[in-house]
Amino acid sequence: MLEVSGLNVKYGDAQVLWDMSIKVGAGEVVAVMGPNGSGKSTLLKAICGLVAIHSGQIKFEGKDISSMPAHNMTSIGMSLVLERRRLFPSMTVMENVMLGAYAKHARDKTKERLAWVEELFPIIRERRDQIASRMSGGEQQMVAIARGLMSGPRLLLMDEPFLGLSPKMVSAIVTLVQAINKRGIAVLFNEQNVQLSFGNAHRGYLLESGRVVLEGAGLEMLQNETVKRVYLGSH
Amino acid sequence: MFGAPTRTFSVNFALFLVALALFPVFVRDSYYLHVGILCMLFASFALSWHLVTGYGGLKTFGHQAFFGIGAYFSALVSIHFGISPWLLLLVAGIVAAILGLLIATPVLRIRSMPHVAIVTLSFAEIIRAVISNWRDVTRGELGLWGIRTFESFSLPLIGAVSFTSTDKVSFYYLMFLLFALVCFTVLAIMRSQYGLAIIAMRESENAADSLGVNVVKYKLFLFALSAFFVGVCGSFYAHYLLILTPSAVLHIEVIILVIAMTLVGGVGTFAGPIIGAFLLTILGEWLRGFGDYRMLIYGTMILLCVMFFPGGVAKLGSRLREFGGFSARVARR
Repeated sequence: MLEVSGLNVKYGDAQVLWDMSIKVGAGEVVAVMGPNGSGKSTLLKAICGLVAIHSGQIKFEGKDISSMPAHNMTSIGMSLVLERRRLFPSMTVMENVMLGAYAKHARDKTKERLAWVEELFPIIRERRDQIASRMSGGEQQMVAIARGLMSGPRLLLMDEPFLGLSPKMVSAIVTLVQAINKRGIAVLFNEQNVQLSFGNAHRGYLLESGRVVLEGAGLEMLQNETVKRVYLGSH
Repeated sequence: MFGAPTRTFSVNFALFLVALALFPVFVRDSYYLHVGILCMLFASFALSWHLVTGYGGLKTFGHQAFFGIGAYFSALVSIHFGISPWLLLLVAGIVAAILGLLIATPVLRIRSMPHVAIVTLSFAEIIRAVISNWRDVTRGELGLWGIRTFESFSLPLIGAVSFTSTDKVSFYYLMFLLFALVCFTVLAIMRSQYGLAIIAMRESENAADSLGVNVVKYKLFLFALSAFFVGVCGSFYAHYLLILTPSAVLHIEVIILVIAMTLVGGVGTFAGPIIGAFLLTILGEWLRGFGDYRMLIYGTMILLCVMFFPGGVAKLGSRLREFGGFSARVARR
């Protein structure tokens, strides 16, 4: 479904992604794990066109999207939930969610999608007129995910979806991600915590200093000796 | 679907327009009409600037360039080619809009707002320097005169509509129509789905971008539209006052005044720039005797506003329920 091959990204002279290749199959949940500065956020932003790529190729459903501008991503079936939610703070919950269906192709289906999203996220209906910035972090994350689903993506990308959330909210979001995936939507997310990332994904990639150093099935990754030694601190 | 007007807002706004429209029926004194014209002129200017800065979130400090270009272009063409000011009102707007696109293009590449402010301000200063030094054509600070005024015409029922310096009523109504045009255009945009996208762009550019909002297109559109209106205002100014100096239309004071109006009235609201423009224009006339100290007073007002009621008069009003619907929905943005 998504195929990134030989991706190099530079911020000025500093190269942050090196020859990176990852894949997401249809219906899969894939986690990208790595410490701060390993390039996981840049990878997601590069896929979505928010960061210009230096070389390499990004293909979505067989189509080369390497140089596609960010605002066209929703129309091909891909949607990004940005790091730290990035809701529109002065708007209401409903306005935020409706903006998710802003792209031309999504407007006609706004009604059905809204019903679908409201079923997954009852909070949207309950708080529809609340100002987004007055919600808790976890609630905002739910609105952000709901907004991301309004364009009807087949692949949902989530940049650090658990960042700064309470343990209770983290498990609520995990449950939601599973529910979304059950409906056939592939998910690619990144996360710093080994358990949270590989424990909740079909497959995972381990990044270090902008390079993929390890890949495999989620549970395998959890059992991997290197991962255990370096990230889980067991001997 | 988005931002349906509240009834209080519609009623208040309609009453305000009716009051403006009836003003010349009761007040014939040409000085008061002149102040009324200036109020609406600056309200239109402030609304247009606010479209880019308040709603779009692009901090531009160079809109006086569009005002000056609109004024000088219109004046010079009317003097040298004898073209009707009626046509020039539109053409000056288009010229300013093209210039707006020209300056917006580099601005779009800058993400840091202080730099946007400096680039636009420098651009305006270049225009000012050129116009004040190109004395053969513009006469510089000596002032450009001999500008044609609007041709008179006659309307059924009303009779002759003449534009002379002694009769300000026609100018008043022309400005009123321009002001109403700016108001309704801004309202129409901000209440459509485009308005929501523009606010989204201001609040989180990346999020808006990744949801399918073509940020570049919107920024260019806002800049061009805003420059168009300010250019039209400049053209009106030229054919109304019939004398132009670079310090009157292109000085940095012009944009400071507009910024002060918007801040005092309330950034991010529809009513804010209008309230601020009326307040400060009237105050400015009242303080005319203070000469250069006026800038000091404006500065103090901005400071006090930012410190004590950052939302501006429009939001202060809504808190006191005085302006009612002005604060709701669109105004909140």
